[in-house]
Amino acid sequence: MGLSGAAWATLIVPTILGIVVMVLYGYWDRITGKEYYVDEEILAYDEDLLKELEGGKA
Amino acid sequence: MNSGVLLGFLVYLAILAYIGWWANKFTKTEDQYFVGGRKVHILAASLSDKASDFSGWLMLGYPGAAFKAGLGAFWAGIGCLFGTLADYVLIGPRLRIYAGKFRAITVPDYLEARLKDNTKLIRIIGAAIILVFMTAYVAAQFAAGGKALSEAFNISVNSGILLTVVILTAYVITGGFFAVVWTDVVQALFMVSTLIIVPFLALGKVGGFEKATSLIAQADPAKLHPFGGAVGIAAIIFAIGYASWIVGYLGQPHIVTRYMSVEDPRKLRRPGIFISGVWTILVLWGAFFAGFLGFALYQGGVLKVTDPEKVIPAMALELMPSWLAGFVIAGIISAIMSTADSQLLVASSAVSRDLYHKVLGKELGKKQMVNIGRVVVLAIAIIAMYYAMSGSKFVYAMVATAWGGLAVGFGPILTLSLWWKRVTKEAGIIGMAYGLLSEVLLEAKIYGWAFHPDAPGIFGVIGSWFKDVPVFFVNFFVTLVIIIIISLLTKPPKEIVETHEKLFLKVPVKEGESKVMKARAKSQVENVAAFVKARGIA
Repeated sequence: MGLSGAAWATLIVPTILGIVVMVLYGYWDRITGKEYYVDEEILAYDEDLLKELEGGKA
Repeated sequence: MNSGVLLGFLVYLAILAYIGWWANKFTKTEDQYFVGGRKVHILAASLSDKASDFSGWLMLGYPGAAFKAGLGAFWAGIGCLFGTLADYVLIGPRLRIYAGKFRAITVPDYLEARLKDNTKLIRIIGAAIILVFMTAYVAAQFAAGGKALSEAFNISVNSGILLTVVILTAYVITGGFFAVVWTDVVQALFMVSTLIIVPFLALGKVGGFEKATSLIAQADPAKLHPFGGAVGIAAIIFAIGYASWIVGYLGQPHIVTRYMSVEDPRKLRRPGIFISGVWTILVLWGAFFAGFLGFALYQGGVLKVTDPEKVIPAMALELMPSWLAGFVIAGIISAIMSTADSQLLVASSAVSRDLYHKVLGKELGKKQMVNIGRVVVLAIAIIAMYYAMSGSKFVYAMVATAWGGLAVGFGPILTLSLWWKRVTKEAGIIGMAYGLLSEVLLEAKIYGWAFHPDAPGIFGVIGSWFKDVPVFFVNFFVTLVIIIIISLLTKPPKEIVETHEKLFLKVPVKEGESKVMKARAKSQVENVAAFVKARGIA
């Protein structure tokens, strides 16, 4: 019997749309050539954690 | 007790115990205990985001809905997929940038700093929203864990609840955020493996997709209809009813805290959205088809199902060797624990960080603050365990309201504060307070999950306008409008507008990096020669 065309469309169309959103957003920086500015102040890693990691204890 | 199932489950427990022990090294400050020092690997943050999001609903509730409603239940999956994507597009990177800038550990931390609220009201209301709804949520997860363990190992539900609490609380207390995210990674892998294997086994057992759909159509043709047999406006309301989950994603603190913890905001764009998106598609298709094909097996007389929500455990025990069924049971427990651990940690942060540390102004040493966090985790776990075992009606009412309460309490203000420089603290305070009170009143007291015309007085009239549409979906947009109007009537401080504008100025990709790379690629002599030539010295 299988599924009708409308039933398959319900399953597949939103999934493909989701993948399109993923690809567009995922590569938006490449598409526009611009990205958020990020520096050490924004990354703001916990200093104690960095020391722990640098100490080779991780 | 089935020894194969027990073996599979013990392997899973051993992995959790190891991660808890390993992560203990990285729990020395509040930053580490609650957001992993903002240096969590993107793979762990993305998978933890999804594992925290999908609770027992993914392994029990959603397949149960597919079993009962058929194809129409897939709209819930569509809502969850686009909710996941909306979180990355609207919340993730910007929230991580602000969290770093303000050294924020919790969502109320961020909101207070972003809106420059010196009254502490935003923090108090935020902590209240988290505490009321998250504690209830944790209790519900404990109850679900207890039921799952009770089914799997033939023990009492209360013993199952106690076992869930002991396992989960042990690794949350020991390893904090790092333990939670890395156990979530393991749990996410258990969940996705289970939801890939089970539908394929079911398909083989039932004799192919054509046979499965024939069996389903014989029982109820509406189960093969995209809108459960509804047409016109009823079909649209049917789809909105399921897909309304989208807006709920924008305000769940246990989910968005993952974005605050990630090592680099740019990684949420790539590969973050791909890891979360692909995982979500796989599990939602898998869980849907597990329930859908489970119904065909049930109709074909191959499978006995006493409760539609137990269709996956029933299929595992029927279709798999016992040791593999043990991993499936672990997958179900994983879904429950991975949500409960995240919610427990967020609820704890609301007390120890937001109320004790910031509102009361109590600050001890770094280690002491972490230990206070641990004590609060234990206290909330015990309270939630009590509620789970006693089956409190108040808690059930709060659980039913929790998704909507968090969505309306945090979603509009979080989204607007990340994208609109004009939003003000007055709007934040009123919007969040309205979100908390209106959800408790409308969902827990008047309507329940969706609007209906049987409510008293004017609420019955409103209920007839929005009949069958989930309350939080409409209330989300009402709150959004309230925040916008109040923001336009008030004025934000100049410095927070400037900070917002500067923070999200975009810079050219690679250009800056490639110049540095080129300079470094040259030898020292070549750089000196270029400098001399440029200055005309030689």
